[in-house]
Amino acid sequence: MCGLGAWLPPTVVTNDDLARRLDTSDEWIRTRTGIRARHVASPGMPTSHLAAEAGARALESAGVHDVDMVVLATTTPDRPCPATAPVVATRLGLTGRPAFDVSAVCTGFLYALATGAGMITSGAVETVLVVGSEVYSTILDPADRSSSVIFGDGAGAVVLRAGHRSEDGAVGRSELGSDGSLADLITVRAGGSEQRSSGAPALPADRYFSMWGKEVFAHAVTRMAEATRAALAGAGWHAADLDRLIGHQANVRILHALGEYLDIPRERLVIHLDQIGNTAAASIPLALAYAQSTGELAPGARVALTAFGGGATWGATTLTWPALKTV
Amino acid sequence: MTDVTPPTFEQLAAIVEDKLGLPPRRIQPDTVLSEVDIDSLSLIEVSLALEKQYGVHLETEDVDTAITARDLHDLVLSASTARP
Repeated sequence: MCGLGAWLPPTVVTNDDLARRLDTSDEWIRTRTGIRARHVASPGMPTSHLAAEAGARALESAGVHDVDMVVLATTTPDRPCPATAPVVATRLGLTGRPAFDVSAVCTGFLYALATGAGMITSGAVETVLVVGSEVYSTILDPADRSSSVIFGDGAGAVVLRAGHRSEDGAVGRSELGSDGSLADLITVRAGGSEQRSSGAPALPADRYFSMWGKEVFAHAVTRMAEATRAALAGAGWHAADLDRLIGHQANVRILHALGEYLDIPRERLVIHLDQIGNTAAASIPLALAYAQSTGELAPGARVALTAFGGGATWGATTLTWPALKTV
Repeated sequence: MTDVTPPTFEQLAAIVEDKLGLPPRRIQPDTVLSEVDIDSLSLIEVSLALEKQYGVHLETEDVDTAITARDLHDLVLSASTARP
């Protein structure tokens, strides 16, 4: 990993702003999620826009203008078809490069990172731009207080290059998993071939995102803990060796429970969601950029990344933090 | 079937008190869980602590059926002996 960039749309929506239009309160949202505010994309600002902004910053951080491939993780592509990554590549002046989307919801960035790193390891490419970008505000039911308070829009990106496994920034073995029997836990039910082939029109509520919060909480903690343990074992590290655990920023109580489950003290957890909410596939690169900017991530720090998301999907990997240029 | 050593009621109550920020011995067998300011995620946090500390796995839908602290302890006891 040799470059890192992030971008958040300028509009901020606070808990108090939401409480003016929904039956909720700042206190209710903070105690249940840890979230204080989130950024929201302006009208006419699709996922590709955020992705290109973050991608340009990651390229600048890496000191390059070109990469061999672009991988975009998103739940909210610009269109159901085609993929959004080619649009992002062209916006970045990378027309002609291979570019494709990876769909693993909140685990999407870790799947995309593993894909990019694997393509480098195979020798097919030498550099990859990996982006996580989301505009969840386009799939949330504005009247649903349970999901509206949680999610935010944003994008983060990293540049990967070929290097030696012993270098700082080398992405460790990725531990990825899925369980399709949990597809209903986190879903947008309508709009795909399942609903369209049914012959029945989509119910209005099915056009929007829905989540079973309690079940997700329990699965998220246990799956992220298992994946993190496996990734740590792959790196030859123990939990006590970790300087920072960067878990998917869904809910601060999930992150605290994950820390307890793994015996990792709270001060070693990166917490960024209080400022931006859950940004799904963008949350890990955004948390990396945040922790780099605050100095929480210093060169040489031992870091584990882990996520759980719709699918269900989960994953974890490790790296020793490299010296990166902050953009 | 693998038996695990389940927590006593007092040990379970201590976990619930810790997760809910309640004073010691606030949780008694007849304590109605919904009356001690428990929110929908608190019992999941209790379940995860039980899983880590005692190896007892409770299903989320079963936890939701517990009315009193005794009900929750009964669930823990039955999960401890019915573990695959």
